[in-house]
Amino acid sequence: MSLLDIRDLAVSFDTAAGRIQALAGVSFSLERGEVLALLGESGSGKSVTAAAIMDLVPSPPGAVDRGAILFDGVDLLTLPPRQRRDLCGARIALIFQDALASLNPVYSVGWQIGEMFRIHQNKSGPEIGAAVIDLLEAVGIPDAARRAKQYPHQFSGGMRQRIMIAMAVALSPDIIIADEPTTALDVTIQAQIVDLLATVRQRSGAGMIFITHDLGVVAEIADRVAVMYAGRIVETASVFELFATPQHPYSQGLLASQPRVDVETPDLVPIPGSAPNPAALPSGCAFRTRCPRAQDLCAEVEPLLAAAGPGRQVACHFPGAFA
Amino acid sequence: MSAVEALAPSNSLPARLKWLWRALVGDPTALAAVIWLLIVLAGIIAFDLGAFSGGRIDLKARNLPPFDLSFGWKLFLGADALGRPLLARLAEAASASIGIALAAVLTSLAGGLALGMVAGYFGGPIGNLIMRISDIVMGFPTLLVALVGLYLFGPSVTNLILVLAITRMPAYIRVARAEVLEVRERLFVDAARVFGAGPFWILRNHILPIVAPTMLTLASVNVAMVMLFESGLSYLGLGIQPPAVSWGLMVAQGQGYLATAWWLACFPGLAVMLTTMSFNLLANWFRIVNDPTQRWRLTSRKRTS
Amino acid sequence: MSAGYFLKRTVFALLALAGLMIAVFFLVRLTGDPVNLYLPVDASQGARDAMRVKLGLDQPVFFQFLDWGGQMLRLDFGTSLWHNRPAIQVVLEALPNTLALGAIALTIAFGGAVLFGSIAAVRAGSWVDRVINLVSQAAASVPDFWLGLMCILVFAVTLRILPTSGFGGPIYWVLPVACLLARPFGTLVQIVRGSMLEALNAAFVRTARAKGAQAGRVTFIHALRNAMLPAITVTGDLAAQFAGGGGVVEVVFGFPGIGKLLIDGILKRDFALVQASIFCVAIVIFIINIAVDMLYAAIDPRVRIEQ
Repeated sequence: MSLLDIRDLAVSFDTAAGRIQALAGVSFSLERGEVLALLGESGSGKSVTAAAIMDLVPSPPGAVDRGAILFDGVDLLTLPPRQRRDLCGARIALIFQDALASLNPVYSVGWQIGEMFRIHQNKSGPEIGAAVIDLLEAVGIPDAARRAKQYPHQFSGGMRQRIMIAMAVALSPDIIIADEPTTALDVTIQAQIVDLLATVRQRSGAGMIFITHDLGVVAEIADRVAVMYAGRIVETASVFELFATPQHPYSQGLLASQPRVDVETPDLVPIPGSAPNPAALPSGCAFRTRCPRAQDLCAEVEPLLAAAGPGRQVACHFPGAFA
Repeated sequence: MSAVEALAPSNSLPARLKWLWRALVGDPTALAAVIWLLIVLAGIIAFDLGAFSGGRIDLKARNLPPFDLSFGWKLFLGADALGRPLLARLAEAASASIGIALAAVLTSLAGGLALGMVAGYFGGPIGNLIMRISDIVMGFPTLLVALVGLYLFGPSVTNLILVLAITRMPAYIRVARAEVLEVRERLFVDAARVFGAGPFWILRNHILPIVAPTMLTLASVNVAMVMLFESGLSYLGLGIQPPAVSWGLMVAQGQGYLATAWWLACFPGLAVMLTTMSFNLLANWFRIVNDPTQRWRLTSRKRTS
Repeated sequence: MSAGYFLKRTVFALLALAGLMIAVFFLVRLTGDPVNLYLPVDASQGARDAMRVKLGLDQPVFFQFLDWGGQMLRLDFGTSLWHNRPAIQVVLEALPNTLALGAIALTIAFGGAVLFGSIAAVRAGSWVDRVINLVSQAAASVPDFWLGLMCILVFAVTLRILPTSGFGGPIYWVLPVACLLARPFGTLVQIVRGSMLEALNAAFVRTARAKGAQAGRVTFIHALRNAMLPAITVTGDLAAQFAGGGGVVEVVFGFPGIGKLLIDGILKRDFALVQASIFCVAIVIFIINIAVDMLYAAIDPRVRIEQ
């Protein structure tokens, strides 16, 4: 049984421009101890997926239309709110992208990390204090005892992200979801944080969903990849297979547009067009307006995610290793 | 046309008016405020046109209680100790109460704008002096400063307007100065300077149009506050002096009859409250309408819960 | 807050105070015959001349200023004509009443506003929110003297459960406090609601939810502390206003506070009283401003470091 199994999840939002489908039937799974990268552009629905898992979809104006989120066999969507809340933080944890905005400015970082224990466990004050210092040291923050009393604005960007990681792993969750944790950092710090995440995950044996739009990070940390476009999963594969033989035209476009150091490429090859307006998606396949091999069928029938080899799935009428 | 563009008002006048109307209807309290203010306006106009004249002192109607139509519509809200219909006096007082508030706000606006622009654009010792003095004035309770001012200079209508204007002016000065400081650094001002434009030209043509909207929002919020102050001052006897009349003064005059003719003190004060509330609600509505990120609340067809 | 900062503020405030009193001194002489401020409008010329000599107003301005300066430093503001005692004494007796009245009213207004503003924000858009909004807008628009009169009408005259005016035990405080807190309550509810809405939409509240915190913890521990900051600043401003501006309510209820003294002094042309009242009010305002700054620094750690 998979650790996390998402089946046909659909989420929509009520906006001034009408009802927008943010997720249109998303299905993927996460096994124990594996790192799944959720890859896609901004607006593809990656963060909404994380929000849906963590019960963070704001209820007006958003709503989960259908689907199931099976965590260890239990459908989270059917759990009573109290039980679902107990899982958040304790067994599934989320790391946000913007650590400065995501930490409460008026409380010390030690207090905020300690809150994990206060919410979910019954540890005493001094026990929590000691645990917090241990966590800060584990994520590489020096002089932890003194730093725990300081406030978020007194730390640098990279340190704040480490604090968020410390918060997330405090209760040794089974799943860690990292929502673009390195996007707001400079490249050198990025590398450190990715390393830290990999180490932390390995030590605890947790499964990780790594949300990103950066192929380099995917190559570094992921075991498997699920590619998202316009609220749908368009391809899932192991990271090696995806980089070597991508099947979906979007994945192929992504990989082709990467500048490479080993081959002479005079020009970069972007994917033509731009991300679709979620309120006005093309009929049939959402990618067809940018796809080099779109046919009439693509405008009429939406391709569903179908098996394309062991452990691989593609949602395309004409998948294949075309150039 | 993207979804967002569909919501913004297009530029032709009828389309803008239609959009404004939809925005107004979208906020029922603002609509009620407009209706009340129109009623007050109608009252003022009716009074000026003499619809209430023939207000001879009619001792038969002394202290007549309200809500009794058998004496005619003019006496619907009752009459005072001299038999004068309350409705007529309310209409007469309306022009004083609202007029003074508007005059005071316009004066603060003009003065605050001028002083703020000078302090912001030229800075230096004059700018500092302006800011220090306005800080001190702002630090004091408005009523206190107004009272002492009227005490020292005597209670006339002009003094009343000036005192109310001066006590509220610091807020305008601060906002104007802050905006000017920000705009001053922008490139188009440098460009104008390079072309030989003098400071007053720049202030009037480049900086003023940008500063104006914020100042107008501030002014609309202030009208309500100034009305309350004027009514308080008139109640105390330091504002409008008899035989002129304002709503605040009417409350003071009705105070002696509180147990016997409650409507004499109640209705003028109620008028102040409703008018103040209307200005407040309209100022709120105005702010939402002017903020592109909030507009959709008023004009979206589907009301979110 | 460092001692140096505190000292600097005190010095500036004292300078401002001195400037204020000097300005009053000159304004009084520039806006007509100062004797007018001490006598009723229809006093005889003989009375005027006698008063002028008594007040030393026949001396050259320079000597007047020196005399006056000496008096100020001794805190001698003259004798109240109406009470026939040193003005400063009368004022200092009334001061605690006003401070107590203002403190009670503001505390209830602030507490009530935090409660109702938070409820309105958490249930934004619902009928609860609309009702709270309307009531607070009404409260913020009500003329306090009229509210006082209407309360007297309803509770004292008609229902006879509260006294109309006067001073004594707690029951004499009920109506003045209620009328004084109406406007601040209305204003503060709007502010708390606005800043709570902002805080509830903030990223760190999302984090708290992701940590599994329940609604109460999210609202009152995470959001509220951030949302309170603007409300505290406004309350501080209001406190300064109440130091001298709660006068109208005091007059309506015959409550013996500084506001009433000041207004009575102005209406009865008792300038010594007015001068002493202005001085006391200025000092109270200064103290309140410092207290608010310290409170703000205690709640928002970002401010602390900058000082």
